[in-house]
Amino acid sequence: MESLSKVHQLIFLLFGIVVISTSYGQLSNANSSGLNSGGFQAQGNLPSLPYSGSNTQLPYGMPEPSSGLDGFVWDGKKFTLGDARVFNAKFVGYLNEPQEELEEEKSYQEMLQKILDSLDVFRVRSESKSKILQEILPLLQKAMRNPRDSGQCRAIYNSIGSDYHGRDDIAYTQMRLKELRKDVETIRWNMQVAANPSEMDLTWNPGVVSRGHVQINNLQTDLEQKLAEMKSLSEHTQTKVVESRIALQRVIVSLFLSRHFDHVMLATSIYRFLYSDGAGGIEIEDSVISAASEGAKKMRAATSYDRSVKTDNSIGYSPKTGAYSNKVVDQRNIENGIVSILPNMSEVLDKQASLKLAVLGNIPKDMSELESVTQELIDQTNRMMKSVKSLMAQGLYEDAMQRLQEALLPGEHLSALRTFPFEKRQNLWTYLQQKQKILASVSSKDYASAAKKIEEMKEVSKDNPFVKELSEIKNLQGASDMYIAKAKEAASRGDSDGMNKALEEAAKIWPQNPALNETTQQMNKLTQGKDELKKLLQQKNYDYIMKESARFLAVAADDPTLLAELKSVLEKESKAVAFKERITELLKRGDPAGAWEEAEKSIGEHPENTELIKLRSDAAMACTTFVQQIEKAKKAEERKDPAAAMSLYLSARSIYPPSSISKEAIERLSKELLQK
Amino acid sequence: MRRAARKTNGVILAGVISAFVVLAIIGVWFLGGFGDPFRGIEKISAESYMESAKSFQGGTYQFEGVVDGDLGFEANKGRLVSFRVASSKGPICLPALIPASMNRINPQKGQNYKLKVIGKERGLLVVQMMEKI
Repeated sequence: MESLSKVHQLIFLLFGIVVISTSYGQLSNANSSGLNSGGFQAQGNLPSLPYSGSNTQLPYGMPEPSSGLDGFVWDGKKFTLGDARVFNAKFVGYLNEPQEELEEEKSYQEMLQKILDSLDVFRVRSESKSKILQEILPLLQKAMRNPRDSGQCRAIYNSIGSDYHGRDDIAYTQMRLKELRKDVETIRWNMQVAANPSEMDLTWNPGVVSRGHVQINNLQTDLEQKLAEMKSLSEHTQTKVVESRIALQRVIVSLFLSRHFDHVMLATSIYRFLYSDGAGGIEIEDSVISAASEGAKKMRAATSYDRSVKTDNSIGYSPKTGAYSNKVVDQRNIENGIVSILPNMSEVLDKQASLKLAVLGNIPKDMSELESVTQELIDQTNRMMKSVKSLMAQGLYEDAMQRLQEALLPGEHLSALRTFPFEKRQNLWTYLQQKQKILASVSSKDYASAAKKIEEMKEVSKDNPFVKELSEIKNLQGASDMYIAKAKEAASRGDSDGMNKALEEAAKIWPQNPALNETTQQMNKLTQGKDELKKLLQQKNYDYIMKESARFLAVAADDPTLLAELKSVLEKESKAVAFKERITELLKRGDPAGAWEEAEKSIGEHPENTELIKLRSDAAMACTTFVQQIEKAKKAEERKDPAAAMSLYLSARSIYPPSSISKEAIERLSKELLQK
Repeated sequence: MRRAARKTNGVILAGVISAFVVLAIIGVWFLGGFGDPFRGIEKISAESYMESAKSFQGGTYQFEGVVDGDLGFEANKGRLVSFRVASSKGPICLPALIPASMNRINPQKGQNYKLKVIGKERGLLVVQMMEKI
């Protein structure tokens, strides 16, 4: 159980490392990535419903909106990470990555398995080291040339080479130490001889230093030099041994942190094979942790990258000379057009600092624990991948995608994920795209589109993750529509402030509500229509008002004064229309005098009606004498000459006996003339 | 000789008498003699009347016209009747008031009358005399 808990902690940390190691690449182009914008960071944050005025209660007991769908789930726990988009980018990359060639992967895994079999813990005890090396080194060489290998086998291979190079060095040192020991013995004997002077040296000469004394001094100096060299070589030997071991440990930790768990298992076996403290503690130093984070910090993007490799055997095994490690490797890792992508780093560096501490506290302390955790991660990934396939077969894409995301964290480089069929990845990619579109629609409050896409998603996956969101969207749509109804009601009361407020609230909830657009257009039309009507009334353009009467009646419906004025105009215009019809009919019947009289009457009521004026003119052309008599009569009446007017009207009547104008005038003038 | 002189004087006297008679006849004719009441009364210009009736105020005129219609009746004033008069521009109707004093006359539409009228206030033609033709 403790081991499992450790696995979970580690996976989370590994995720952190992945995030940091990839965040540099993302920082520079996060904004330009269309997928990111619709990815995890496109949180489906449904808005809180606005409150109107003092009414702080949500209408109809609206539910609290959800906080969105950000983050990922691991072991039943939801992690909401701001950098989830980074993982998302990786996940999207994985879904669109071609599937590993099955044969290639199979042969690679077989090679790794053969190496592991050769390094069986009991076999290592029974077989000679040189024999085992003879078996594993060619296999490692073969594996590192496999396109599937991305340098992991090479790192292990080179570590073995470094170890043997160190061992050669130690052998030379041991030989030199042996020589020095011999030299020291010789010097010691010489010093003893020098300390016992011969008879020839007994001649007393106080002014001259004894030749033996000088010789001892020289031997003393020589001895000190030899002993110092011995001490130095001894210390160097010890350092070499420690360095070689630590170097391999570094490789193992590096492989572990980069989640190359297959290679971790391989490297730990080799470690156990090479060093007697195979199960000993891994001394994780600060430098190792720093290297991990610094490695991420130095991430760069190359516009082009030449990965051509010219490899000679760097290490090998010869039956005569044993293992050798001094051959050249020429790997042309040439980057062209390097672009530094280290923009604002402070945030990421802070994360690195905290991650360093976390890694220090959670990296397995010894090789056995490391192997155990690694094996658990591999098993868990394999189980998850089986689960992914099973869920997809049942049409449960959401669950399948979550399991795949969880599996991708630790198992990115494992065979189970690398051989996951491309077709299935593309199915999940299609599903993810749909999901991202929904999130984007929700994020931009385009609820109609989101609801439509959610409905469509039901056809793709049986476990639709947006059921709750769909319900919330419908509630929000309802709330927005309710405010629109409120706006219409306010408009009908002529309460423009209330209408605007309600429309504003409706727009806040659902800016793309089609009803809102429609209502706004209607309201605008209404306002514009009123302005237009007022202008037309002012211009006395009754003809146009008459033509658009239905529209203007609707426009003026909520304005009693305007409506009364409009009705009056329409009534008059209706009469004018009736006049026009009658005049036209009279003209058609060949009664121009009658038409002229009708037109004359109508123009009295509608002096601005141009059509009537035109009709009157047309009629006058056909009965000029009659019209002239009437006109003259009117003028005579105006100048208070009733007898002349009477004469003229009588004459006009004699021309056109049914003349109503003449008849009225004659009656009027008769009374006038008889009264005086 | 004396006889011839007497003959000559008789001719001259007869001539003078004839001239006197002729002059008397002319004088009577001019002074409304021989019983024609319309003699010497100016004929009315219907066209001018239609242009300005007021200018006919105070004048006496005569005209012939056909009764066009009854325009009204006022007991104290009389009856206003329309007469159609011929003119160069076609028929023209002239209103004329038959005063109450002449109520014995009852003109009917279509009857042709000769009228003597006088222009009263604002040019209203008031019939002084009318006789059926």
